[in-house]
Amino acid sequence: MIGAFIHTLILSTTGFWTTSVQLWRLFLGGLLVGFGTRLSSGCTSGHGISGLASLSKTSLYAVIVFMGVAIVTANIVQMLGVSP
Amino acid sequence: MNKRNIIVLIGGILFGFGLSYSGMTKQEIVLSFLQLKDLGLIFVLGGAALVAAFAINVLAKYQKKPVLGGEFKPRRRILSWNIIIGAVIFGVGWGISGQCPGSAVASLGTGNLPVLVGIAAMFIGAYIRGLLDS
Repeated sequence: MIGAFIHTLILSTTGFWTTSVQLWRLFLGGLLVGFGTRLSSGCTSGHGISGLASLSKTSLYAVIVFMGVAIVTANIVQMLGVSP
Repeated sequence: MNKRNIIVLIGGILFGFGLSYSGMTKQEIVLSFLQLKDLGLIFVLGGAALVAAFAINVLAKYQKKPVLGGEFKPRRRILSWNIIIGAVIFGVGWGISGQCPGSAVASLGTGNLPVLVGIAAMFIGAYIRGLLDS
């Protein structure tokens, strides 16, 4: 958070910023992300960066699964006419 | 503040700075990756994993003990249904909202206050998982 703040303050051309993703999506998505991260013992950082970096096969499978599912989900949401 | 906390703080600042610099603090950019319109995320994730892999697999071999004490040992995660089902649930949440734990917290630093709703929901989701486990 501090690092992102420093970047936005000194380098960002667009400045401070607010998402236009709807609150219900942030909430529902957040619930699932929190539950899923704890159940699978890792997230995009834990499995995606640390896990892959330490050559963990378990993490590789987790990354393939969550990325595939997220791509399908994001496209379904878009097809339903929800934007951004 | 002791040495350990200072180093952890610097690591966190670099992580957040990098996420913001690369645009990963913006849910719209993450979603455009998931909709396969902008492949930036894969380079950020892959690049970070490569640098970390060099540190873990090469640099750490020249160092007997971690600078901050303790010992080097990998975090072994055994593949289980929990990992796979958790990854599926995580993927649905990520696809709906474009936020994940690290990028959501970093995003707060860019002034993105609505993401507080997402972060609160992540705590609730993780707490519910804990309740089911006990």
